[in-house]
Amino acid sequence: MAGLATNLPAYLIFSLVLFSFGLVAALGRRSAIGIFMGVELMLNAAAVNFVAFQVLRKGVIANDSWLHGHIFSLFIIILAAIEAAVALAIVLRTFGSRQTIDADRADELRG
Amino acid sequence: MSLAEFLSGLNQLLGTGIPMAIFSVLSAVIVILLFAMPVGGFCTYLERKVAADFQERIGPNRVGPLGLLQFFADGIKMFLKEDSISKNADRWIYNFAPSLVLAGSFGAFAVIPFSAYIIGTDLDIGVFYAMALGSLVSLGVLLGAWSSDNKWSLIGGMRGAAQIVSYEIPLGLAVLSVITISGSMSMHQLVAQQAWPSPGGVGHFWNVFHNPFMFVNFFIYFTAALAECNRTPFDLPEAESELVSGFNTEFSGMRFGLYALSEFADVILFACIASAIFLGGWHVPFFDLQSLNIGLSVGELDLSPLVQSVLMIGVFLFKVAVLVFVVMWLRWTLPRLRVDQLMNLCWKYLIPISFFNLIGAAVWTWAFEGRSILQLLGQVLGVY
Amino acid sequence: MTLVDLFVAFCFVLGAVAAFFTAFHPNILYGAISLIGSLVAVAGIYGALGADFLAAAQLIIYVGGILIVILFAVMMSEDIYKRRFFEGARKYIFPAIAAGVIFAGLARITLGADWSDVTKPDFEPTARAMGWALVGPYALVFQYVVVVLLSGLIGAVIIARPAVKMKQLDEEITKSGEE
Repeated sequence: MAGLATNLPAYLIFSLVLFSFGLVAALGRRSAIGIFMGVELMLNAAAVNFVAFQVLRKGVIANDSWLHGHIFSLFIIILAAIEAAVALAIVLRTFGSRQTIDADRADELRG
Repeated sequence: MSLAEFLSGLNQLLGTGIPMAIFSVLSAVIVILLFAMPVGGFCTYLERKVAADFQERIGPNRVGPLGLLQFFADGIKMFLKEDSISKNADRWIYNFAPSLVLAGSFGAFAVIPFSAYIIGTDLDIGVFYAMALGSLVSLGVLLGAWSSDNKWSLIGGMRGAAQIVSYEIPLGLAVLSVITISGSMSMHQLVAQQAWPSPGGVGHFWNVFHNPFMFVNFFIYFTAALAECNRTPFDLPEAESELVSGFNTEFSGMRFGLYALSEFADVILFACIASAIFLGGWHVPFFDLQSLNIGLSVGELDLSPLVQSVLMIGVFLFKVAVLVFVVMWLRWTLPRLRVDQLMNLCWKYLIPISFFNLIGAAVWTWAFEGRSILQLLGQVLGVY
Repeated sequence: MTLVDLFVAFCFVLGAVAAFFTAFHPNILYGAISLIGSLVAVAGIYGALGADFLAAAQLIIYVGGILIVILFAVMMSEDIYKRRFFEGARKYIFPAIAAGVIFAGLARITLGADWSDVTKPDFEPTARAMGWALVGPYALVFQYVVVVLLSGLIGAVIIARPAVKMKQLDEEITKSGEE
């Protein structure tokens, strides 16, 4: 446990764990919002990965002083926010008339 | 040997960082219990006295001299109340929601600059951190309302969450314009730069008088902060006459006490941030408190920083008290806004105005190289 | 083993447990709430890595914005009145196997790699550097993201509007054309 804060593989395994659970949620959840929660978990896992590499292995890929990993994670967070707004709009529109958010029930092309 | 040395010795002895961790957690808990809770409780007493004054009656005057121990009595009463939860209420969320509001309100006190030498931690992102914790409050309100198994609580909670999230935008934009003209997010830097202009050329006067855009932004910040704390005229989520106390209807005893205390702590927090970034924090006009040299010393320890700190804390708390009094004054003066009027105000008025002010502040900073109106006047008159 | 190590370990455990509940808990509302725990743990990880601006941004945007949106979506669906959004457990077998395979494979690659050139970080405040980067190398990407945000906002507003029948729309257009 010593030196966990600078242990790069630990951060990568953590992001893998988040990603796996996000994958299970995205594939296994039945409601549209559940699928969206899984996608959010996967995005977060990727963002943690970027920042971990930027802080703990800087200078190997891009040998300058810019914070590439941080900027990438910031863009992930921003785009996830707008994706959430669009997802809510789609859910409200598609399932508003169907009285449920069960993604299995959205199986007709016209509605 | 100081406590920190003892703990680090213990760390080395045991080979683990657990004693330091326990101490950090305990000290945070003690700060909250010894400072934030009594201040919040005192504010409940103060609100009742101020309300009584505005309504030409006396208010609490039985418990202790002038009724000062009223909040003790209230606290004891809350602890002794029966802990009843409705049958269909969601037990886990019901217990968890007040702690979110608590964390959001109290956690941000760590970056408030009480004096030049006393600040919890001078984070580089001080103001941003305080705003980040304020966004936890909306979650607490929404979850508390949902878990109460009460339609009207749910309506109040959804309105409350929508209101808090909407008003975070003009709040953030007003703070952003201050950051624009100061160039730093650190609370200590923001306050330190607001010194009275001296021949040495130190900073500018209070941010609220820096340029006309800042002046308007202060009022936008104040309005948005009122809405963030669910205070009148924006207290629709806890509307007393419409929703039977809104999202905290089903909470009784100490759980309600947590909500009420957190709301007051939120008010005090926003007043502290407003007086720090707009009203000059611990600065007094015409006098630089940091140059005050008493000449006292105990042994080889110079006592003047201590005296300066005490004066600075006094000035800062005075400004905070004035702002909190204005908040209470507004509660008993203005009627409540309807929810559509509330949303209208935010999205159609406050956000465009604060955007315009942000651009104006940025253009001013570029055009005049960050000098304030007073500095410009001084240069024109040849004084500065 | 310092305080930071303990904090990072706590964040790892909180994030993993919360993600587990997000994926597997039958009640979708509890899943959304444990997502709070997961996102706060990730914010803590950012803080431990010295990315202070990113930690605060994660709290404001993810916890204070996206989670509110998710909770609103869950609470506004009609299933709200049934008070239970239970989902069958049978559907989790395939996703669990797939996720397990992916996890095992990638974990093996991760742990088998050579991490000896990990640099020791010197923690500096990141806000200023990120600001310069956004108007420096990443200026064009920043403008792209702005356009995406704008189009997303407009799209969300249009999608969420109540459905207007075509005939009614036709009548409106004809009427406004006659005026």
